[in-house]
Amino acid sequence: MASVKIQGVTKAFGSAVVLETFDATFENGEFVTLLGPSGCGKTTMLRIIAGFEKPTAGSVSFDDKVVSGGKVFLPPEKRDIGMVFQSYAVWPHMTVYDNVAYPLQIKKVGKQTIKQKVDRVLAAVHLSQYAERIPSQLSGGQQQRVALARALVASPALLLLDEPLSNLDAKLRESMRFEIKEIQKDYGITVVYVTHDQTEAMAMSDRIVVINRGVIQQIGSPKEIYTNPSNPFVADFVGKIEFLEGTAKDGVIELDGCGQSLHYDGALRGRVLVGIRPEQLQFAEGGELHGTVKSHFYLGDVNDCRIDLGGGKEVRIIADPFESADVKAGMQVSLRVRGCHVYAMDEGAEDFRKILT
Amino acid sequence: MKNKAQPKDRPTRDIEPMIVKAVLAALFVLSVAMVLSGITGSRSFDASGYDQEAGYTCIYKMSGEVRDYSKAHFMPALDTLGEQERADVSAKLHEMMVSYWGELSGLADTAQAEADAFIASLPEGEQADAAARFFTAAFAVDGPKVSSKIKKQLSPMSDAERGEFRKAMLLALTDESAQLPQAAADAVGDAQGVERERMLLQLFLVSATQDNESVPTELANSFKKSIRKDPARLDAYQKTVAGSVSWVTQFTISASRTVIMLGILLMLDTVLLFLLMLADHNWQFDFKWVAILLIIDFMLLFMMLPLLYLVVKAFFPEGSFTLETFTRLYTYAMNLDALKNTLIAATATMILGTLLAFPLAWLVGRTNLYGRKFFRSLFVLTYMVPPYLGAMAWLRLLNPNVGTLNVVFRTLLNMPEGSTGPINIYSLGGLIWVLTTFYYPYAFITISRAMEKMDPTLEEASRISGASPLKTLFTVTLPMMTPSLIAGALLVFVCAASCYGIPSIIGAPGKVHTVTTRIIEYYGLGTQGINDATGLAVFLMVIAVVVLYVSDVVMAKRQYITVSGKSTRPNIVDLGRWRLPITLGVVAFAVVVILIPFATILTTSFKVDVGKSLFDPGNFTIGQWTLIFSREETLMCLKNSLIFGAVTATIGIFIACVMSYLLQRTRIRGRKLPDFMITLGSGMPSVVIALGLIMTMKGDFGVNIYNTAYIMIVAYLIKYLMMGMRTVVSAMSQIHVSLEECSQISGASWTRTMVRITGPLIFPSIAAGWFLIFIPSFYELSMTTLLYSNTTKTIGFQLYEYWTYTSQPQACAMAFGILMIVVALNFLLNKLTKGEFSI
Repeated sequence: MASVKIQGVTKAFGSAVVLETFDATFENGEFVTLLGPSGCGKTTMLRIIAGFEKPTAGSVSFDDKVVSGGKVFLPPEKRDIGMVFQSYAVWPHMTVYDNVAYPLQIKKVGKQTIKQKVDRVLAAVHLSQYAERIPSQLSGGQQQRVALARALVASPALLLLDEPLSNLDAKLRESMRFEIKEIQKDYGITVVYVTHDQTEAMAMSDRIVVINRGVIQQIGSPKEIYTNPSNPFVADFVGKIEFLEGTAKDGVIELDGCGQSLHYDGALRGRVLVGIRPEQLQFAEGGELHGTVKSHFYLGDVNDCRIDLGGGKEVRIIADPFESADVKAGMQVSLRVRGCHVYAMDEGAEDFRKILT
Repeated sequence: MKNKAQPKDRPTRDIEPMIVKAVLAALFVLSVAMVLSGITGSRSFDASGYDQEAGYTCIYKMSGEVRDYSKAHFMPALDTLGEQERADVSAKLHEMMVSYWGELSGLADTAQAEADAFIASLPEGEQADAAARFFTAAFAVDGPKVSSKIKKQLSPMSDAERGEFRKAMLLALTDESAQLPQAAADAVGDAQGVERERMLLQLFLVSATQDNESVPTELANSFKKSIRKDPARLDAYQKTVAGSVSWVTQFTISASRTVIMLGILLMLDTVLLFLLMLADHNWQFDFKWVAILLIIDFMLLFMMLPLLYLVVKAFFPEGSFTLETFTRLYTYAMNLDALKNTLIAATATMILGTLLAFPLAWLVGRTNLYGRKFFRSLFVLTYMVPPYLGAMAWLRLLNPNVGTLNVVFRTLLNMPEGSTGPINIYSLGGLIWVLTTFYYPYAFITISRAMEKMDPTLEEASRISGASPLKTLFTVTLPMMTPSLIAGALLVFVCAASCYGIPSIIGAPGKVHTVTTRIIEYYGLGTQGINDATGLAVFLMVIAVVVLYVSDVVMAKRQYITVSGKSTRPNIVDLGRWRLPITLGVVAFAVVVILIPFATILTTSFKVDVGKSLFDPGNFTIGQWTLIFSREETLMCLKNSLIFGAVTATIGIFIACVMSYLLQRTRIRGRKLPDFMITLGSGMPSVVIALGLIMTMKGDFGVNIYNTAYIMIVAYLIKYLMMGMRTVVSAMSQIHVSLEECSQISGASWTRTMVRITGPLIFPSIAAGWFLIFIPSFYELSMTTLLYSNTTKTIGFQLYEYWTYTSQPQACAMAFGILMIVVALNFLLNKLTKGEFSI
């Protein structure tokens, strides 16, 4: 129903720049997640889309109609958006029904229609029997669903969610994830979702926008982001990874410190940063890397081990518990490398390090 | 907020519940004993016919004095005589005593027998000098006067001369023809018989020492004052000689009312402690209860007792139930007018004040109004200005004859020379206007605090739902604000209804009476007047209690949790093209309500003739200013105000800190009780508090602080303690208890944690709380008007006196001085708390 086009948006509060030339397009019916650590600017971007903040430069368009940018500024109430706030922002002086009916009342919809629509959306969020309660009588999860129902009731073109699950406990969070996704499919609505939880982002999104320090790091599907992170920050923020420094030569990367090397047929030469995810390693006779088991944690479904490669260098392997049943601390092992991420260490390499820590 | 403190499980030593119960029982018995002994004391006082309980203290002290005197001066002098002479003198003394006895008792016939029986009743060794002691006491209190001229002759005598003189006096008692020394002859003159004898004896008594007093004159004087009637005095002399008033007796009798009061308080405390422990199901004593009970005792004595007394007095003016006071009061047209005026003025002020305060609070707190921070401080500052100052200013501006604005209006409207008006400040409308301009800040502060605390996403949710900023204001912001709005409005209502300064300045000349001005008028009219004053005070009290109750219910029922966990900036509404016009409107408002009145006060303070313009030749003077800084009385009043304010604020902030700790950091049972009493006290109209204190603190209830500085400090504390307490409590609630726990985990003791962590964190609030108590106490008027004495006048009262009776320009100079002090203190507070607080 709506696509969102963000062109060159920057935002500064005084001298503090929180967003730098943000360019992205969210397609109609897409579930897009803005992912990043706290303070990265993702919420600011969401509030710019909503119209609570004006961009310092650049523009935001819905379906090619500019809503923020240049002289144009459409106030939030004119944007036809649904939004769920982190604090839910359920009005404490109104009943659940009144909260949800509010957007329709603003639109001057007839009483009958309001009743139908509110009942339907309350049913969708499993709150039908709570319609006459006031918010303080509801649990956190129920309040969250009131906020969701209110955001959806007027069938907005766009739904914005600002860390809506962060105040819920782990179990509830998982089931709400599923519910939100279901509702999005049912309503066929474009969703922009803000979170710092990479699992949440991976599980729900069609596409993820990874942001750090106000700069887009990568846009892509969860799979692209995970399997092909565009820089060490993305690799580190999404999933687990260990980094080793080394020097790339023809067909091989010589790792620093441990005197070991990896097979490499990429194009980079010179100093490189090699990122290896724990699941990319496998215990195997005659593997490329050799080391001593430094520690291992048996977690039932996996065996989480740290392998000392020598010279203070370490890698982590999360191994199948059946294949690694006899692994013990101090054992000499060899590891097969099923894949890795290699990045050039240029002048800005130190920056990578900083981002990582 | 969820961050409520968890109870501190500080290890308490286990005491056997039986022991605790036994101690409670013992305390209860003690309290009963105190009450009973107090009542007994009070009874025996009633039976004694003495005028003051202090009489027993005098007897007790006198007893010691005469014994010492007899040993040191009487008996040795007697010993200088020969045996026969001594016997004669002793017999003479006895005879004199009997005749004096007869005079006092009024029954000359039985005096001999009574006196003999009395002496016989004394122990063996005491009988010899009984007459000596009798006369030492009696003549010190009520003997013949020795003029100071004679005393001057006596003083320079050497010890040897003194001995000779006194011996001569004794001998002359039995020998009418004896030659008298010059001084004695002068003193006796041509007195004969008993008169002569008594004078001789008196001369003997006073000449014992160089300072010419047998017992301290002060003691003799208070003896005289406490025991006025002759038969009672005779009784007192007997007790003095017999030494039958022991230290315990004198204490239980002369302090009987105090003992009863203490006993009752102890009894209440014990019962309360018992109930608290019973509810706790744990018979362990917690020392925090001591603090709670002490505060409760203070409030019981100085707040509950006076208020109860007022109610009782209103319904039982002469000890029996009657509604006569009320029917008399409320059928009198002037009182009915006063009631009507009070209700109309308070209601109108409430409505106007809230109508002003809400948009101002919204504009200043939630929009991009130009200079919103400045306006905020400006409007809040008015809150700290004494209200009577506004009345003075508006009176100068809108006096129907010479008011500056009226003159301007007349010129503008082309009104004929010599006409008055067009606006008359001496009217109900004028009263409402001044009340509004000085009490709207109360609503402004309440509302803007709530507005700043509101979670902005609640409004954003409305905007995203499609509501415009204005629609959001009415459907979300306003309903969410309702509790604060109502609370603010009610606060304005109570303040306006119980205000004395403004109606006394504006209303009195225009015959616009209010309940407060009537109360103070009645108070000046003697006993009947005081009865009537209580009747009117009860009316104000009822209003205050109802309002307190309603506002409590409203706040409790609709206390929305609008504080979000995430710290977010308040949502700023863009006023768009209205930004400049609205800002100009606010500027105009500030000019009319704040700048013009203050400027008027300042200019008036430089005028010679208030009716003329400051720029008329010869009408400018700085005389008022030099006068107020040099006149001793004004400086004394200023000193009094500063001292009373500082003492009140210091005691108050100490109680506030204790209460904050109890409320925020403990779960101790009963901690809400003092909180309730403090809230009730501060909600009471000042005039009511003062009237109640006057009527109960004259000693009838065991406390006599009438006409002292104490009564003023107590009154200020009751009225203003809560302001300080709320400030510290809210600061403490903002500090998460984990900060303290972390310090304790690090090994710091409780004290160290308080000193190093909590103290510094809440210091700005403590300072702010101190000033919040200090400033209103400093310039207080309503209570001071009733409570002052000549030595405890304050600057506020002095200003009022000057305004009413002496010179308006001088009053204006003082007013502006007060204003400058308040502004300076505000500035100091701002610096002291690093900008975190200003009032």
